[in-house]
Amino acid sequence: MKQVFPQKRDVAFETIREEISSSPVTTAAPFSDAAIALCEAISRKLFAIPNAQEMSEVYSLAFFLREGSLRKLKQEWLASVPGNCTAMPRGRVFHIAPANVEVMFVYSWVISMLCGNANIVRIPSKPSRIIDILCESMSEVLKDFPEIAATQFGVSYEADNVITKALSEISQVRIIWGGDETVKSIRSVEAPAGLRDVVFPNRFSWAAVKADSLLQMSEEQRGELATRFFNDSYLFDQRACSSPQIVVFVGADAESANAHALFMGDLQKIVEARKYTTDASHAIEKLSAAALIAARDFGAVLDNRSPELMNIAATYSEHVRTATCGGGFFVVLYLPTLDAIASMATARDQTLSHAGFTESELSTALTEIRGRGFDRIVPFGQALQFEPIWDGMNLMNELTRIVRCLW
Amino acid sequence: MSDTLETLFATPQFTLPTQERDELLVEGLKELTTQHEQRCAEYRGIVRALFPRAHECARLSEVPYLPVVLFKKLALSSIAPSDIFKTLRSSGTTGSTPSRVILDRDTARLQALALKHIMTSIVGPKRLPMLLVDSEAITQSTGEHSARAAGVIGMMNFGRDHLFALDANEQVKGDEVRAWLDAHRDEPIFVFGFTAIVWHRFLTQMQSAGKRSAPTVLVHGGGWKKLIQSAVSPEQFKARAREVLGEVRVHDYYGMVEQVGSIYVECTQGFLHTPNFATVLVRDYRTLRELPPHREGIIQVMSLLPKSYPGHSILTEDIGVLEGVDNCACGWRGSYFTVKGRLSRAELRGCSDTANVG
Repeated sequence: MKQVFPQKRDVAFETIREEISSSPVTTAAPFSDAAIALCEAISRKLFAIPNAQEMSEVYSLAFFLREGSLRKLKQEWLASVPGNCTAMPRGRVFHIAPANVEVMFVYSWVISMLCGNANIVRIPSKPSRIIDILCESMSEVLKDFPEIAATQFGVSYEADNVITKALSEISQVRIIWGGDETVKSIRSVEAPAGLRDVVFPNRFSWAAVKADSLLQMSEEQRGELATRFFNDSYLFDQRACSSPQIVVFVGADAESANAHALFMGDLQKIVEARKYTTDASHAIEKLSAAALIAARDFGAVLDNRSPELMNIAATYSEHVRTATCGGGFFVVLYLPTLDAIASMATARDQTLSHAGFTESELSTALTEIRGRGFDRIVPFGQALQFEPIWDGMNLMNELTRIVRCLW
Repeated sequence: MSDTLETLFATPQFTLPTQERDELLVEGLKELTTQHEQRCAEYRGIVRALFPRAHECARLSEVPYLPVVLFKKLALSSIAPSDIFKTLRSSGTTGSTPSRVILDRDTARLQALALKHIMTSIVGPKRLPMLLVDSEAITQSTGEHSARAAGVIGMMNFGRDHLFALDANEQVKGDEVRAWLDAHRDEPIFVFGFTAIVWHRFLTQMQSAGKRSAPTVLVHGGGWKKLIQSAVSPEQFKARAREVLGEVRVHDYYGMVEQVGSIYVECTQGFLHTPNFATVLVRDYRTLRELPPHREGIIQVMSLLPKSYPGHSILTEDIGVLEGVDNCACGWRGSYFTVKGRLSRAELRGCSDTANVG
């Protein structure tokens, strides 16, 4: 197998297993100065990469890793720890990173490392320039933090249940990214009873626009809104869990129809300006998705703007969820009020990105939904922005133990 | 049967000039679109939303088409449940949903008739002794092999003195096959099987078929997918067929369970030809617009046979090139094309991925 950080080498599995199991399972109490300094150093390194701004996901990561933002995170989180309690690391955490949202493994690792845990991070073996850049930057910085570095192991291996089982046996927590299939597959590997799994199954996301707010915007404001929506949707070919698949226009139907047409026109301009292109099979997939919806919804109205942007105004049903396919395909719903979304929400729903609503409209909707769905309600432009509160969990809580100490 | 289809059946296959033929096809396909819209609610919904100008359709490229995957996801039918004669299922790969194709007696009959017209132009009007490169057991099985079984049984009509070349374990019955070939050495014979089976179970397993003084027609189809993995080219396939069978005319064919009966047969020049009652066009991957000859894109198949289900115009996931129209050196008329492979599912980036499993 391959080790990818803090050193890069081919190594026999037995050798590295021995090295991992003989290293300490924790480094320090959560948010140690050393751990924060390490992050700040990685942040600087990433900002210094030429063209860092062009890799927007790397840029966002560098921003997250700044000392200032982590000190704030530390303060807020420690304040939430109950009295007479201290948060302590859980031990060694085994991360199974997703193959395609490349930066995700760093967020997963950083949060666990900040919590004081030792880590094994399984990184996808599929070649990726972004992963190489990230591993190199992390490895260089880790040289200056030998004590922490000695407990961190980035590895890469082809699917192998024997290895996965052995690494699970020397870990206290597993974080399993990659959706339903990966979660099921990793869970099927026999693991110690005390092993704790934090899992990230497939999720589904929505966007909502208040029609009359959009109709009152200037052309420039609408362009900005469309740009933020473009970033939320197209960055990972609309296949990230947080990328919106259904877009809801809220208002009277006539207003919604106007807002819908304006919005898609604006979005098409951005799609062209950013030169987004589709894969060979995308056009067929989108046509199939639209056909599946139209086959059951005789009122569905197709709006085929370009090979890169197709949307279909439909009535909500379970089918519209399963039909969605990514790559620039949106199901559009017109709803009279935002809280009407409550009757459609399911546990699968993760992010609701919104534009044009008041705080009270959002909070009414949240109350109506009553936890049946949606873990994140964020403004347009922030759908893909990773936060330590993710999928309804505070990851720091998942990766630490709360030790109660009375005297 | 409609007059159009009758005319197209009655005219010898591969002889009609394209322009004349296409005019008949457009009319026939348009009529089918209208019929299926009236009889299949799902199809009506799709045409209404995706092809609102279907009724102004004047050219083949304007005929509405369904992505082939819909036959896996919906049970599309234009007949009453009591008229269902049989439901064809694609064999599919393990784990994938099979296509479902719903037939009434009339459509099944048209499929058989169409196949007969095509096969007689390949094999000749007389039935030849026929070697089936498959196992007899398969014809009795239902379930996963049903499409393969239907293919074999459908072809059996075009031969006589049948011998199944493979045993129940799909191993070649060497002695029996040699004895059969020997008995028919002085007369033309007809050999049929699925491409990968013919190659792996027959051509590579048999030595020479002995001295034959009469020619052989070998018809095979069902895809090169498995053979591309073993890196066998059509040339190698034919060369090996000559080694085993002596003088042999090899015809590959292209067809699918969603349009049984409408098969596209390879000519002596190695191109697939459209029969009178069916055709193909090639569309751009990205825009789905019709492409001119010599450009690679997605194959759309059109046929006048599907009356019981809305499958008269289907966008496949196969990649192909239209090679020319009416001017093939083989002498057959009509448009001719080649199949280059299968469109792979987009490797899209996203949170959900299975690359990681295990």
